[in-house]
Amino acid sequence: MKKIYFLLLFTGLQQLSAQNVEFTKDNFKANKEGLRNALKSIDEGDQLFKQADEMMELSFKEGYRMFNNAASMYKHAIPSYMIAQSFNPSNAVLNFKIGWCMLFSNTKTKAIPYLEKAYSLNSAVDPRIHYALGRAYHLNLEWDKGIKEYNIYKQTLVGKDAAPKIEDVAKKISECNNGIELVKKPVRVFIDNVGFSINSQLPEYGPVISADESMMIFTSRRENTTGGGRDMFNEFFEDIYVTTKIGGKWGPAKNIGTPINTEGHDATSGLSADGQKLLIYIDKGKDKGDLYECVLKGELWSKPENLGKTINTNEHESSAAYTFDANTLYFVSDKQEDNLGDRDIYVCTRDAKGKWGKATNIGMTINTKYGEEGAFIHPDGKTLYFSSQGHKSMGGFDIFKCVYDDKTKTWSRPENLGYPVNTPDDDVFFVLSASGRHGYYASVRSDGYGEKDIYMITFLGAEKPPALSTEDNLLASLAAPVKENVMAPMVEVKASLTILKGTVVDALTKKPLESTIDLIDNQRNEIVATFTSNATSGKYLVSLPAGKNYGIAVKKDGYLFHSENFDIPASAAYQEVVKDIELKNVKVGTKIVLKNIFFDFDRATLRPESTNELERLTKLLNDLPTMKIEISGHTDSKGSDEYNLKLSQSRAQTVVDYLIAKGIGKDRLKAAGYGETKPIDTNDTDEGRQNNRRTEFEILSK
Amino acid sequence: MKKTVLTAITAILLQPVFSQTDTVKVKINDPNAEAQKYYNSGINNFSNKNFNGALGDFNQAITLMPDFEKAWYNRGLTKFELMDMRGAIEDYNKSISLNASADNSYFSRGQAKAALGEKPAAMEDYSKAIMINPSHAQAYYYRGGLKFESGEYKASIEDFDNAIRIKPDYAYAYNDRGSAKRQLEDYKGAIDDYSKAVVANPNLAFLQVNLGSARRKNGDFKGAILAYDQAILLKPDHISYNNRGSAKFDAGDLKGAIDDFGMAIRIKSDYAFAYNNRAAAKMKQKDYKGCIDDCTQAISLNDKYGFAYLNRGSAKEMLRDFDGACSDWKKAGELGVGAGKSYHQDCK
Repeated sequence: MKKIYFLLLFTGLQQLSAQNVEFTKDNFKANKEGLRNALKSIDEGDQLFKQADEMMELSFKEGYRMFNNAASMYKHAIPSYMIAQSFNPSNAVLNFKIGWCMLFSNTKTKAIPYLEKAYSLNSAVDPRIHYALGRAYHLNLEWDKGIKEYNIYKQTLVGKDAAPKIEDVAKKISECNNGIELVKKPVRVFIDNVGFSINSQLPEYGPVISADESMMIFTSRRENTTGGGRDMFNEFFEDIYVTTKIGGKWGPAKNIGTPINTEGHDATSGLSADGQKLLIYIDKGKDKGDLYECVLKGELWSKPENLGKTINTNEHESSAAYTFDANTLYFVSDKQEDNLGDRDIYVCTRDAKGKWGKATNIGMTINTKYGEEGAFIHPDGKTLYFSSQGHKSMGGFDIFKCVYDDKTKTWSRPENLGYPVNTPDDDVFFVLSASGRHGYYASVRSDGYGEKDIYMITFLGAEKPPALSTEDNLLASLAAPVKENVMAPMVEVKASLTILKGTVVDALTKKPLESTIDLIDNQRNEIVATFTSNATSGKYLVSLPAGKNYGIAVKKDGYLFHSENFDIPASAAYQEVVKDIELKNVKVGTKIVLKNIFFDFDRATLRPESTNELERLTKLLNDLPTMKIEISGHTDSKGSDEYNLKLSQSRAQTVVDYLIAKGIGKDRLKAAGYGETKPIDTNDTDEGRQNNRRTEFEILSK
Repeated sequence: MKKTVLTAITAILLQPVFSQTDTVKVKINDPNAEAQKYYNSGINNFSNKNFNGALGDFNQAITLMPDFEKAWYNRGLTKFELMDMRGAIEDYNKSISLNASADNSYFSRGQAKAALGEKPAAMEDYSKAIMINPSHAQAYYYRGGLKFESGEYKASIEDFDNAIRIKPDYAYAYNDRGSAKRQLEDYKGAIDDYSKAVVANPNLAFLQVNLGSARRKNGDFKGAILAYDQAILLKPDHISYNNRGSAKFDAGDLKGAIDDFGMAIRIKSDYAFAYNNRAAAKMKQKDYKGCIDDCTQAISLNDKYGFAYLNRGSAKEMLRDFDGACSDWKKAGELGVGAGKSYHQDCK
C-alpha cells in the first residue's frame, strides 16, 4: 500500500514536471521560422476547427447532416495541426484540438494520448476535455473510464443551453452501459477484409450484394472517378464500382461506368435480390440527395431514374432496399412529414403499373428520435436490418434487426446484432446474404488497405461447444459381473454302512445260541472286531463300514463255524441285512458252505483273501483231531460238464493241499469235484449261478 | 451300465449275502447313493472350476437318479458356466418341474435367459423367484437391472429399493439405483446412492467413477475430480482418466484435462473417446490445428464417431475451412449427431 502511495506521488511529480509550452517567441527564440510556420498551420487548422465547432453546436438543433459536416471539418484540420505538433508537442490546447479532431477521424482511438497529454499539461485546457476523454475511452471500449469522464463533464453543464448537451452525455453514458452488457456476450463472427480486388488505400463503402453473393456493387472514392474531380476536402468524388465472383473469389472491381456514374457523387444505395435493379443516391445539392433506380439490361445499366415524388422530397433520401420482389421499398428520409425525429425509415410499394405509392413511416417500434440509417430488408422478406443511434446502441449507429409478423402486422423489438459486429463507433450500411451467413459492411480496421474498407462478416452462430464422450458403467452387474448362481449344496450320502443283524440259533433245536462273531477284513486278513450274540435271544448286530470285503465267522464250541462274505464297495448305500444263522452241531453229514474261500477266475489257485477262512478250517480240524471231512468243489452250469468236473475237482484238491500243508493228516481229508451236478440254487440267474459256484465241506466221520 | 445297476439292485433285494467259488464281486449298490456321490463330486469340480468334470459328474448323477432335482439344477449352473445357455435352461426347466418352489432355479433360469437377451422371459423368472421367496435380494436386483436396461428407471428403483431392504450392504444395488436416479436426472439422489455404494464396497473403482460422473452432471466438478482420483488410485484405467479429464475440462482446467486424456491414450492407445476429448480441450484453447489432428485420429479409430466429425468441423470452421467444416458436420449429422445436422443447415 505504501508503495502505491509512493508511485502515485512519483507520477504526480512527473506530471508536474511536464510543462505546457506556449507557441511564443520567448519559448522558441532560436527558431523563429519554425514558430511562424507552426502558428500558420495552427491558424489553418483553427479555421476548420471553428467552423466545425459552430456546425457542431447547430447539429444539436439540426441533426445528423450538420454533424457529418462538422466531423469532416474536424478530420481535415488534423494535418495542419500535426505540423505544429511536430514543432511543439507540449502545448495543451494543440494536443486537445488534435485529440478532439481525431475523435471524428477514421482513427478515433488515437485521440487518447493527445487528450491525456492535453489534460496533464492543463486540466482546464478546454471545457470539453472530460467529454473528449469520455468519448475517447468510450470508443476504445474502456466503458468505466468513459462513464467516469462523462459524469465529470456532466457536472460542468449549466445554463439555459445545457439541456441538449446534458441529454447527449446522458445518452453516451447509457451507451457505455449497453456496451458493457453487449461485450459480455460477444457474437461469434469472423470479420474479414474482402481483399485487394475490392479494397484500396482509398475509401470503399456502401456494399450491396445480390442475394446469392455473386455480385457486389459498392461506392469508392478513387482516382479513376468519372471526371477525376475532387470535393472541398480534396477527396475524389464518389463513384460506383462492381465486381463479380469468379471461382468463389471476387474478381477485380470495375467502375460501373456511364450512365450511372457522373462527374459528381454517385453512391450505392440498394440492389434487388436478383442484382437486376440498382438503387443509387445522387446529391444534386438543392434536393439534399435523392434516390434513383437503374435497371440492368443485358450487360448495360439503364440511365438512373428518379424514384418520384412519393419517395424523394426536398430533404435527404438515401439508403434504400428492395424486398425480394422489388415491389416494396424501404428507405431512409429526413423529410419532415410523418417524422419521429432525425432520419427515419419509410416504406412504400409499387402498384401494378409500376408506380410508387405513398411512403409511410415504418413506425415507432423501429424509428426513434435519434437517427436511423441503412435500411436493408433481407431476401426472406420479413427481416429488416437497419442502423440506429437509438435503441440499445453501444455508441453511434449500431446495426439492429427486427422481424415483421404478418399476422399481427407488427415489427418485433429491434435486437442489437452485438459486439464485435457493432462497435462504439458508427456501424451502418449493412447488407446480408440470402443464406444469412454473410454480412457486408464498411469499417476501418487495422488489417485494412487504408481508409474505409469493405468487410465480410461471417456469422458463426451460437457457440459450437465441443462434444465430449465419456462412458460409465452404470450397471454394476455389467461392470463387474458376479457369479450369482449358487450351487445346491452337497448331500450327505447315507450309504456308507451296512448293518448285518439277525439271530444265531441251533440248527436243530432252533434255540438261541450265544456265539462269537468275528469280523474279518479279508484283504488285510485280520480280525477287525469280535461280537457276541445274545445268549437269551441269540440276537446279534454287526456294522460293516463300506469299502471292504468282509468275512464273517460265527463260531461256538461244539458247532461247526458258519461263514458269510460281504463285499461292500465304498459307494454302497446304507442297508440293513437280516441274516439268521443256524449253527450246526459237529455231526456226520453236516455240510457247510465255505463262503470266504476265493479262487482266481477260471483257475484253481487260491486268492489271498481266503486265508482267514482256511485258517479257521485248519483250526477246526486241529480242535477235532479225529474228524474226517470231504472238501467238495461246485460250479454253475456254464461250460462243459467235463470241464466243470475237472475245475471243481482241482479247486477241492487245492483246499485239501492247503490243509495238508498246514499239518492236517492226509487221511482225514478227501477232495471231491462235483462240477455242476449238485446245485443249491437255480442256474438261470447270475445270483443263482453265483451260489452254485462254491466250496463246501462235509463231515464224513467224527 | 443300466444292466449292471439293475443287477445290483436285484442282488440286494434277493440275495444280500454271497459266497463264491469264483471271485465275484457283487456291488451292493444304492444307485441313489451313487448318484449323490457323483453329485457331490460335481460340486467339488465346479468349485475348482473344472466345469467339464462337473458336467460329467452331474450327468452320472442324473442318469443314476433321474429325479435328482438338485443335480438338474447344478448341471444347469454348470452348463451356464460352459456358456451352454439353452442346455442350462432345459436343466432348470427340469429342476422346476421336479420342484415347483425352486426359487433359485427360477432365478438362474432368469440369468440364462437374460444372457440370451430374452429379457421379458428373464424378468418373469425373476418375478417368480421373488414370489416364491420374497427375500430373494438378487432376484430383485437383477429384475431391477432389466427394467433399467429397458429404460423403466422408476420401476427399477422400486426393485433396487427391495434388494437394499433385504440386503442393506448391497453395494451393487446402491450403485444401480444411483444410476437409475442419474438417468432420471436426480443427480443428488444418484450421488447419495453412489456414496453409499462406495461405503459398502470401497474397493470397486467403477463405483467411484459413477460417483464422479454424477457429481459432474450435478455441476460439482471439483467433487467429481476427487472421486475420479479415488477411482484412479484403485484402478488407473482409461475410463477413469478420460472421465477425470472431462471433469477438468468442465472445471476449465484445460491443461489438466489434456494431460488426463493423454494418460487415457497411453493406457489404451486405440481409445477414440480420449482423442476426441483432447481435441475438444484443444479447441477451447483455440489450438484448432491440434484439435483437427486429434479428431482425425479418433475418426481413424472409429469412422462412425459422430462427435469427432462434429468437433473437427467446428475446428475447421474456426480456421475458415468452411467447406471442410460443412462436410464434417454433414457426416456427423448422418451419424445421428443432432448438432451436426443443425450446423450443416447453415451451410450453403
